[in-house]
Amino acid sequence: MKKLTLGALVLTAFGASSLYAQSSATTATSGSARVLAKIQLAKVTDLNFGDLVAGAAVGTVVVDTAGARTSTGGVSLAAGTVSQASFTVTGEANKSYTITVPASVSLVSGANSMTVNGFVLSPVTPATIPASGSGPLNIGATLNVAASQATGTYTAPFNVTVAYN
Amino acid sequence: MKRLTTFASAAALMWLAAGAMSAQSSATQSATATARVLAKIQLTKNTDLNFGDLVAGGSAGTVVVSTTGTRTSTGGVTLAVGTVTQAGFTVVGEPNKTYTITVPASVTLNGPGGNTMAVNGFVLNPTSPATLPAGGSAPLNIGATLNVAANQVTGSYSNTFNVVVAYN
Repeated sequence: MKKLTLGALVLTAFGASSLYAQSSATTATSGSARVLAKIQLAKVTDLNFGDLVAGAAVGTVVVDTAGARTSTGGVSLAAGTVSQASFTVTGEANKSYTITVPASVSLVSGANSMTVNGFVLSPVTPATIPASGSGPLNIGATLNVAASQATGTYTAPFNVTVAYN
Repeated sequence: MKRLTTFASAAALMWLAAGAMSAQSSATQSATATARVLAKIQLTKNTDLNFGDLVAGGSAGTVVVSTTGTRTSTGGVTLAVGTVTQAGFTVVGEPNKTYTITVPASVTLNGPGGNTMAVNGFVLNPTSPATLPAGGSAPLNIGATLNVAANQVTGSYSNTFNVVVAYN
């Protein structure tokens, strides 16, 4: 880089000597740019609807952003581990960002499937990164269970994206 | 000159590369969503709880039937030969899943002329909470204590009681 700078200076000097008329003017002005801390998302827990028993009627299992679980319709809940999806968002303090989740995800167990939709976010989007530069992101959703849904463990991955506005 | 131009181009490329790397304005993470649908838990009765035949005495006493159907007595009660059984059930459900068993604290058996006897002290085998074995099916046996008053009026005393198994 040092060498390059010197070369450029020499070239400029040559140019000035052959073109003495002033053909340009320079005025000082100010430019500004802010380099933001990268926005990052780290997963803490996966979304787990836990154990349930399907009934003769359709039903749902709702896990909220705090990991509390409720059911509707023919579904009976069974004890076991339940959790919301949780992440840590790290980035530029006080900067606004958006959170994107799928409209729906299909959980599969062999040939059988169940649909997860109705994702809920805490904080809601758009959110602001806290002054500390890091904050939690919790995601709940609704599991749709068919009447007499086949037994088994249903699972699928889904993507969560955070982006600066 | 040629040499200088080459240097300049390289420098510009480096700037472009640096710009692209620092412009990380979004991040995506994959999470997993999971749910497990369990086999229904079911309870089938095999035998009813039967304290059998007894003779009341001049003082109060008890008849205890264990979870294996073994019968003992205390106090003024005398036992008589006859059929005696614990309450026996089969629990069927999700292998390796934990469940709770609920029985009443006490049941009143009704006899002739409005006379009653209380059954309490229910004992369970397995105890609650229990875990279904790998095969998904297990026996459940329930014993209890019958409280017999002094000179309890003769007759047959009975009632029904509920046993509940649940995944919670």
